[in-house]
Amino acid sequence: MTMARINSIFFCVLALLSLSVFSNTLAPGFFSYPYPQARVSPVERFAAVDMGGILFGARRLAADIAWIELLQYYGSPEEPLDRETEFKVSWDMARYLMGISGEKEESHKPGAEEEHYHFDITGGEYSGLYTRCLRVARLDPFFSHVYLYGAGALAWNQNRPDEAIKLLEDGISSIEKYSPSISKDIHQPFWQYHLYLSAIIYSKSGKYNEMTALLETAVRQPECPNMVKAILANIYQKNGKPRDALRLWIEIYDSKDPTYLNRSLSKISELRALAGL
Amino acid sequence: MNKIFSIAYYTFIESVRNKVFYVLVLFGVVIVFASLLLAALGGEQPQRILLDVGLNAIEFFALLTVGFSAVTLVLEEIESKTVYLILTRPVSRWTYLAGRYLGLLLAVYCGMLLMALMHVALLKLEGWQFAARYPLALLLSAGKITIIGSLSLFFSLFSTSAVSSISFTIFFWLLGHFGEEISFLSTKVPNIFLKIFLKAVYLLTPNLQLFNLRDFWEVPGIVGGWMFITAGYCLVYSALFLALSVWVLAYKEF
Amino acid sequence: MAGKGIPYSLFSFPRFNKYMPSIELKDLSKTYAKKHLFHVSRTTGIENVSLSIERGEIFGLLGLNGAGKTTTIKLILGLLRPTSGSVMVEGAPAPSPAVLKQIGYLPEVAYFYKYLTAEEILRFYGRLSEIERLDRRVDELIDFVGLQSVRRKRLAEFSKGMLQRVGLAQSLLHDPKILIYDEPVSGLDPLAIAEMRGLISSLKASGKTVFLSSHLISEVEKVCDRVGILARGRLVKTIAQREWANSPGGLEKLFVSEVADSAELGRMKIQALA
Repeated sequence: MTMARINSIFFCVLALLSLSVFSNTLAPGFFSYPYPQARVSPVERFAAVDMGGILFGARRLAADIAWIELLQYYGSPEEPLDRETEFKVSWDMARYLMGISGEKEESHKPGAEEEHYHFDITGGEYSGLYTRCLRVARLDPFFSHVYLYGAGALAWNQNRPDEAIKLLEDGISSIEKYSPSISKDIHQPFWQYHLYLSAIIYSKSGKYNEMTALLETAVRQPECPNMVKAILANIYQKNGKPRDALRLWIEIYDSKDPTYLNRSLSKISELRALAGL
Repeated sequence: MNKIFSIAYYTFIESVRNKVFYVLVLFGVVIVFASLLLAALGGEQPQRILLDVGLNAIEFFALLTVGFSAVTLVLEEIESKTVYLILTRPVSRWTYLAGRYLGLLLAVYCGMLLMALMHVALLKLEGWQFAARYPLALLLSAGKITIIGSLSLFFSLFSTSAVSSISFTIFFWLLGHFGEEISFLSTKVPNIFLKIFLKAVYLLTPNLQLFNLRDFWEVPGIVGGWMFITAGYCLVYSALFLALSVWVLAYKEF
Repeated sequence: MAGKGIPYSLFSFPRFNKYMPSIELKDLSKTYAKKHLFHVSRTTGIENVSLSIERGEIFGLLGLNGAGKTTTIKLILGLLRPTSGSVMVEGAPAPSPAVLKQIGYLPEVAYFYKYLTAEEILRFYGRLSEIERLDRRVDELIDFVGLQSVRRKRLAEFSKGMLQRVGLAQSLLHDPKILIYDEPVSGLDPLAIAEMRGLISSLKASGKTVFLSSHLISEVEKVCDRVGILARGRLVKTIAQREWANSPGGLEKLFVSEVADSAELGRMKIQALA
């Protein structure tokens, strides 16, 4: 290659470099990065993993992995299981994944589902639940489901309404930083933070009727976590409304959520008996 | 132009007949299927997890493929001397590089498409509603890979070592995604020199977040406006690194 | 290969400017610089080589291993850039696409894409050389080099002799005026060597210029019109065919006398053994 040719390539490179720098200054006019500045994960032991997800431009995936970890954490018993129960739990999960049903046999045993699954346990510490919810939300502030699920679990299952309120307030402020109008747009799921916040506040001040009315609105939304439906169903059952409770458990069963499969089946048969169906 | 297409065509054939390429695409397909397992652990969010794992797997395996293949593209050709019988023909060095680069991209795009088809089939089985966002996200991923491919090619020529070439490629991948954070940082640091340095890094490195629609899936109000600039952006950055590669190749002796 | 010679229909008789040399090297030098930690070491490839190769001539470049034969060839082809001096091919500075269009190159070792078949690789090279009626041309060359039965086999499965034939085919594909062959008979069996010799003679009869490098004196003296001797990067002598034909001991003696002191290793003490 001649020197003239090499020089022309050099000038071409310079021109392209200037153009790229110009493009980079122009781009913010068209594109604004929606995520807030990265912060250290609230759960210290996952800080490196979460930062790795951000570095690789995979915040949503990192949030999904954090979400799975949260479900594993919240779905596991606080005390270690004895070998026999651990064996039964593992077999149940394996059978489910292989598509072999067998839930009905198990569900007829009284209290059987409590032996196998510890979801939605009342009592038990789960002190890390709030920080884990926050961890998922830090990675993906638009993952509305984690706020709703976390708030429901903290407020009504764990009886920690203050943490639930803190979580929802964090969600509201996150979404309002992105766009104040979006938080009240009914076509987006974020307005439900206000709904849940109100319901929790009513619950704290003992106004159960108002709380139930708000929860009824909440369960009608497509993004409503099954846990919140289960909470409302239990409230209905406690208040002697088995048909309303049954309706909600049928909805939960239809969602095919594996964490609620056994429980919803057992509740449906229980409530059918109670409702005289 | 014909020469570029000829070289591109034979590069494509070489890539798809290459065992490494096969293995990587196969892994990508396996991960897409394995995402079913993860989705089962996701509670009420199986579709979201399936979608995210699949899209990330497609992009990540395309990154690995393009990174490893860029090394064989020119570096290995120089070492095995197969480049002699091309450069001793009336073929300019930029024609040769452009053809090799296009051929590689074509092969990687085909791999991505294959993985995407499997992914969509799985999503449909989970009851996912097809969204126009999906092909758009895939297209933007392809744009990212286009930039990274040209970067990888440049590093393979510049560093003349496979390991350092792949390391640089991954480093720039991370830098490209972290650029927005660097921009945030530059507004916060008090030291003026550090501010300028960080801003310069942000301006010079390609902003891969522009192509990251798969990460903004549920962000409300994401409209297509900025996506038109990404096509031009992609062309400019790819052309820049390709031109740098031609410059390095111009000085090379065989 | 067609042992009777190349059918004249395969190649056109090149039109030349009678007074212009085919290849002209003027004070051509190449120094290799190797960078170490604290210094740069320099090795001389060739030094002040001046050479003029006439049209239709078969010129042989002779030298020991490491004398600079391949360096000279690479400088003509543009694979290396000269440190000083110039290379002109058909009156134009080399290399340029126009110049390379007129050159057919056969490297010492066949450097092909092993994943392609013989047919595919010739088609590929043909497109790069912008050949018209490519399919017909590829068929002609495959037939000429005798590879019809293996044209669809991948080159990874070819023997050395078969690869050499593919090499020859690709060098002749675009009907070049000038052929540059680097050690064309290296590693070939006697039959293949004889065929190569016949080919080179036929190329001369077709009016082509052939520039070949070798260290096999016996072959060079059978085909070349003129020979240049390289020793330690310098062109020490050029000898015409009639000169070595009339010299006692032939080309070999002339060659040995020029290069004896330039060998990398010392002479073997054969008398001591006896």
